[in-house]
Amino acid sequence: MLVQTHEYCSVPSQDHDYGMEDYGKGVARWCPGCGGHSILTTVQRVCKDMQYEPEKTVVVSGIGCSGRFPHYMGTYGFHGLHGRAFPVASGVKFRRPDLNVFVVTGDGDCCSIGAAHWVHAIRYNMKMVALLFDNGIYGLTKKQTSPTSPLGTHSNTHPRGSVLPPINPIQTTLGLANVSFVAQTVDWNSAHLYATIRKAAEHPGLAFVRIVQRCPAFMRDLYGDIAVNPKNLILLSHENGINLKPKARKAFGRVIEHDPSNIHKAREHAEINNGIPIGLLYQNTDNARYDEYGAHNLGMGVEEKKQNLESLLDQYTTSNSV
Amino acid sequence: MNKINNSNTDQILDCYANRNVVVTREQEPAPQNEELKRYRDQLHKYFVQGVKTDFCQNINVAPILSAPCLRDMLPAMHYPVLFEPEKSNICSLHERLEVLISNHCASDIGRGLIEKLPSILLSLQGKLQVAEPDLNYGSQVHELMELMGNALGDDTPKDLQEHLDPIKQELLSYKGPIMGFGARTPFQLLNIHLKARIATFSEFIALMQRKLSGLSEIVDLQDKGREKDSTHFEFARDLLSLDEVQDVAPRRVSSDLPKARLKQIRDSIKVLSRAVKSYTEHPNKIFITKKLLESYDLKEVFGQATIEVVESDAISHAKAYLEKELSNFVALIRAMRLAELEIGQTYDESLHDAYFAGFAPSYLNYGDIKYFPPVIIIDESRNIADQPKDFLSLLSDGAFVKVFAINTLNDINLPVAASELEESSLEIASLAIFRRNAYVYQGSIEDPYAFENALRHGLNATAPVLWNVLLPDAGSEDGPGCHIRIHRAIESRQFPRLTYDIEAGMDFGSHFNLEDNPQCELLYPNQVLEIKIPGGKHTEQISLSSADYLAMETRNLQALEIIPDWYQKENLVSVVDYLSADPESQIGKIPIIQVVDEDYKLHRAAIPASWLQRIRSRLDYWRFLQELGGVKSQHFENKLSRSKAEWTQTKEVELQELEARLSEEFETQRSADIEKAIHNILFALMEGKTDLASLAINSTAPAHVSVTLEADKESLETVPAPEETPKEEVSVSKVAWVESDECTSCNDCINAVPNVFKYNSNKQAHVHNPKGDTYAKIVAAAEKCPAMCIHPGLPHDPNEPGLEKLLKRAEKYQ
Repeated sequence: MLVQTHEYCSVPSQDHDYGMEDYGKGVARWCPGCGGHSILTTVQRVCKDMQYEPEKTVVVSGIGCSGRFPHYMGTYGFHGLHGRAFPVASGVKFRRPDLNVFVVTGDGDCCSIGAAHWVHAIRYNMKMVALLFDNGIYGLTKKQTSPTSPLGTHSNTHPRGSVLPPINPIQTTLGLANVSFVAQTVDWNSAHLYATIRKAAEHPGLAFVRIVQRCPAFMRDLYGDIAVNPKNLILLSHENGINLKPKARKAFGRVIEHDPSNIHKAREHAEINNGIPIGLLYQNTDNARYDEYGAHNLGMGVEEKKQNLESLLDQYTTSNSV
Repeated sequence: MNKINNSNTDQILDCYANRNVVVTREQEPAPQNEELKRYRDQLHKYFVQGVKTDFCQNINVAPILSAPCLRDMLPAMHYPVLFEPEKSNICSLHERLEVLISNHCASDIGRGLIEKLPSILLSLQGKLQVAEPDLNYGSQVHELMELMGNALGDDTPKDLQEHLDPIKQELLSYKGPIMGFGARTPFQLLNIHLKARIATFSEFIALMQRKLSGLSEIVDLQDKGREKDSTHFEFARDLLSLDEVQDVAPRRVSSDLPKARLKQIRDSIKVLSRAVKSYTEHPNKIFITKKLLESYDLKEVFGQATIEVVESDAISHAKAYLEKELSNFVALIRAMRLAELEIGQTYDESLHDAYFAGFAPSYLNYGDIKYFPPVIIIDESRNIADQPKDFLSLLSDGAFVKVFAINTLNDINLPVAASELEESSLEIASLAIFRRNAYVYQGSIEDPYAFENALRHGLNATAPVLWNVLLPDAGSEDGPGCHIRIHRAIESRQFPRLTYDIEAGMDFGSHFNLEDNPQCELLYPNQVLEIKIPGGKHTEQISLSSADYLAMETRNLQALEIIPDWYQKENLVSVVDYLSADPESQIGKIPIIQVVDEDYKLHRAAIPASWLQRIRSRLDYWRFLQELGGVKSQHFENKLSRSKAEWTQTKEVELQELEARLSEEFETQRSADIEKAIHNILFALMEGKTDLASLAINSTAPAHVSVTLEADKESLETVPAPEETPKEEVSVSKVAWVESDECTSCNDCINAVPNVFKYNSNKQAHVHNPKGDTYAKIVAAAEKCPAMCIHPGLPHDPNEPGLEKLLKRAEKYQ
């Protein structure tokens, strides 16, 4: 394993105290009441509190409402191909392990067209924060059934109600190889949202966070009651989990003690269907990380690289050529 | 004679210094009865015909209004003031110096200097008065430092310079100028503000230049017949948001613009380049009458370029100029809009041809009008009052004209006989108010901050503006004396302060403001006068009426009849009492005012009946303003007394009913108690008990009845409250608040009610100003909030319409 160094970039970072305004850009053009606003602010707050240098932070997104995310961050960003947020982010992280990478993907982007990349990104376990904006509908294209839409959702593709059971992204991720961090939160509880993303940002590996998100335009009814009544949220609590202040904890009617190192229990809790379990379901900090294998020649100068290449080619030359 | 009017600077200083001079009143023995009767008859004759009596004392007096003896009545002298170009406003030189001295001087020297500051500043005021008009700021500061050095005297230590130098350096850093109180001060202020405004045009000029270069580029491309390589911008546009690349360059230039459109573009280029030139060279235009220009010597103040001197008819000149300017301005805005479409490649011939062909002044919007170069008319009020029709049409045409009307002290205080014609000039402010579309300010320069505020407000307003200003007479050098006279003119309601700001609030009440006048709810302000009488002192409250103000004019003063001190009769009443009495009780009464002689002795002077007409007319005007400004409304008072009477009547009926019920209940209870007592006694006797005390009956008189009766009696004496106050729950906050921790930053409240809600450093909403907007909007925001963390509290404005419904809606979110 290589020793991690932080000299991949020759431009030294300035000593600077970054504020919220350093991470924001433009006016977010999501619908009023969209959970995206809340997540955007929270990510900015986490960046501020972690004092990530904006020039060393990259937000990569796919296609969908969530795809607008990098446009509103004052950091580097990549509004990528549909379903290909993970490959782009993995590429970035693989060659520049010193950058802080956020992956923003939606339920269509991640669980439908990008499902293959999801599987391998989890397995690569590169240090990055993956945020799944799951509103259970295709909002950008005006209401079509998504892989996480609950059974019977009426949409433009299924006017009489959807007929297949939805994917459970948490359970699916818990089933993937080399999974290291799985958490679930909701957009309308800012305290929990912040604590979850903060925990994810501190995790050494790929932190997968499913954010249950409201879509006020097309899925008004889906989480309406749950958002109004916090008792429908089940808080997974543990000293190694996501810790809330006592005042914020009070808002939850149901609290379950759950040790995030126990993957079997985590799979059990992922199946709860009479409420939304939120909190840290599983964390393992010892898993292998593929990004530690990527950047081994980055400190090399151009001349040195040329020399190495020449010597490599030399192996194929014959001394007595015709 | 009148000390103030003819005083030199020393006496004025004296008048500021000796605030505690006390007037005296003596009583002489009265003469015989017959003489008294003769005097009374002669006094009545004087009142009616203005012929002085044989007893009239021939002494020099001045109206009490101008006497220095009125304690605490001397208006604070705000001058000289210091203008700070960086902040673009004026501040008090006195306060600034106090701070500087206490920062830089050793404590004892500093204290000495601060004590002497008033007299230093008064001498500086005197120097500013006589100094050349182009005295620069450096030499002003130099003068000031010299005066301060003199004030310290010879016995100061040698390191005096070391103390004063840092003060001087810091003063110089303000960049000045210092302005004294004088006839030209308002013009200097106006000029300074006009210059400051030029800076705001630079943004507009830059915009015009950008459009100009954009259009020129289009024309160039057309001429050369080649297409610009715009790939670079196409690429950029995909990365950046559209707003950021707008104006950077034309998006795509098609090679074949029709001739008509090309001609249109060329015309616009001409219009734009002409406008850029005229805006850069002379954005302001001032029309001024020759008489004013010469008498106030304003050429140096404004500079030659911007003023246009007219013989007399400034208004019609300005009107002609405005018409021309307006059509130029409309052409300019048309060119700007055209440029925007052409550069943005969004010109649609089917749509825009007709729009630009029929481009009219009505297409201008608020944002455009802001950039119309101000046209200022400086004229005398009476000239303007002579041509009310032209004046009103100027205000109503939507013409963006600013009228600076001047009244001088001489104008408003003419001899009574000559004054009838001039009344209307005092009322042009109310004339303008009735157009209801102009910003109107009436006031004077004795309060420089209010005046400056009005200037700034007026220059920034997009409405027509009238400043009706009272000034010292041209060429008068009597600084503090004029200052007092102006103050007294305002105090005696001769020239009330008023503002009508059409941008403040939605209704007439909030536009119109009379509150700046002293004690504006009274007819005339009350002043406390300390009088020394044989064997002691006493204080007296006097009202200073416009009769006192009229007496400040020398010729008017001579017409007064000084009443001998021995004449003490009930038929002498003060002017205010006389005017507020009903006509029947006025018969036989003589109105008097208070005057003082050179020895500060108090006398009474009768005024002739010929004055009353004029005093009444001013008073009537003041009452009219009071009603208009809602300071004192007769309609409201009538209604209040009516409803009070109704309320008392109904309560009396209720009281009688309660009393009847009480006595009835009392009777029944008493008979029941007696019966029970007899029964108990009989029973006890039969049982053989002797302890009668234990048998006492606890009377169960209907206590609640008596209590309510008491409460009703109490409430009868109090004035009825016009409305019931809403019941407050303990848990409801009085003002709106947000649980910021819960906020999900969805931007809803921030966008909908930006004056109330703002983001904190965590980008979570908090209440920035709970009174920033209507309660209705706050409740609507609470309803919309997805995190339900907005708590609307209670309404801050109890007069907001539909409060009941709103409170009900708000209940859920408290």
